[in-house]
Amino acid sequence: MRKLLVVLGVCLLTTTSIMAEAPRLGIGVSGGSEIPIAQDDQSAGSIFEFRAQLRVLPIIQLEPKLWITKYGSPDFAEFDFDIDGSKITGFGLDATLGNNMGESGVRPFFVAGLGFYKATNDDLGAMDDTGSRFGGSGGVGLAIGLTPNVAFDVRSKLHVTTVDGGGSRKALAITGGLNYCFGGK
Amino acid sequence: MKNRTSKVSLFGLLIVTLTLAGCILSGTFVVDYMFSFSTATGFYHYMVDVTTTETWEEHQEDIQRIDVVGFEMWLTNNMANEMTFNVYLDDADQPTYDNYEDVDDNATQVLDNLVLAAGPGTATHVTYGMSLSQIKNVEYIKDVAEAGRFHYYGVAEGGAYTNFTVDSVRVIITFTAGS
Repeated sequence: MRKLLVVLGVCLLTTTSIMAEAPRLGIGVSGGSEIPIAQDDQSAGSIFEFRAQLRVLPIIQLEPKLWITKYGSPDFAEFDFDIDGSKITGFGLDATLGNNMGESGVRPFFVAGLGFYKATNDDLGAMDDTGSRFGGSGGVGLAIGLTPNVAFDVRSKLHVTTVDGGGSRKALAITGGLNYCFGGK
Repeated sequence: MKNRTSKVSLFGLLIVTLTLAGCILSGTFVVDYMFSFSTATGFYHYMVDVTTTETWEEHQEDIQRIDVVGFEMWLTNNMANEMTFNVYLDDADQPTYDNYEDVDDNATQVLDNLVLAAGPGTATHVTYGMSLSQIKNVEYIKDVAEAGRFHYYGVAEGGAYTNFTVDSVRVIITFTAGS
């Protein structure tokens, strides 16, 4: 009973401290490279990501995001693979652990998220299997608070997308960008 | 109770790990298979068999889907006028047809009206990308390609009465495989 009271007390104190701090809002933009993993039909390309940031707990942020990836065309020694790489457009929600926006200093963090990925490639003609697919991502990042409002943000994330019929498409995204926090301290 | 919770958590973690491992172990592969013809009769047939390629052999037990099938072709028009070239495919377990009428009646047309420039002796190179832009009956192509073996028929409008050469053909298949 005493143990339970102690736990409840700690929870109450934590909740009070959390609620005392108003949610914080921010926006961010990143760009970088996306490297396909075990995808012979694509080569490394570029990725651009736009995100909103909502700090819901002192160490947890939610980040609705939109991103666009454009893969390159792979080279084959035996023949000319004369089509462009695929384009991916996606939207989803990330959660970060440890990225306290609005604070100065270096902040390493974990990031994980879910989203919908839509791959298109006009060069495939009727073979283009367009459709939104569910996927997830996870990785690590580092935020460096340049000022209370502005932070440099680098991330490395593994994207895994489901494929109809089984299997998945995987890629490693390495991005760098800036975040702006409204009302940082 | 605590012991039971731990076991359930461990089991859940195992399931998640195995699912993730299944996703991680899959991949998308590209195989190409090139063949040429020894005759120049205006009617071409070849039994394509990609099951002998190294990449296919390595993954054939785990193929989950055929993503894309395309062709690269080198043709020579020996006539003075332009002509159009057509490709038909058929299941490997179907009989081999030896005339245009039977092919047209029984096989499935996957490429039509590829223009061969006027000759005589003019070479046309149909690239992989060009073939994809004109391909049709996509689901059928993917179905026959999944078996790894299928009949390939190449004919020009006018069938055996035209004079052209299919110098060589490359079939390029992209597929997803994994456990």
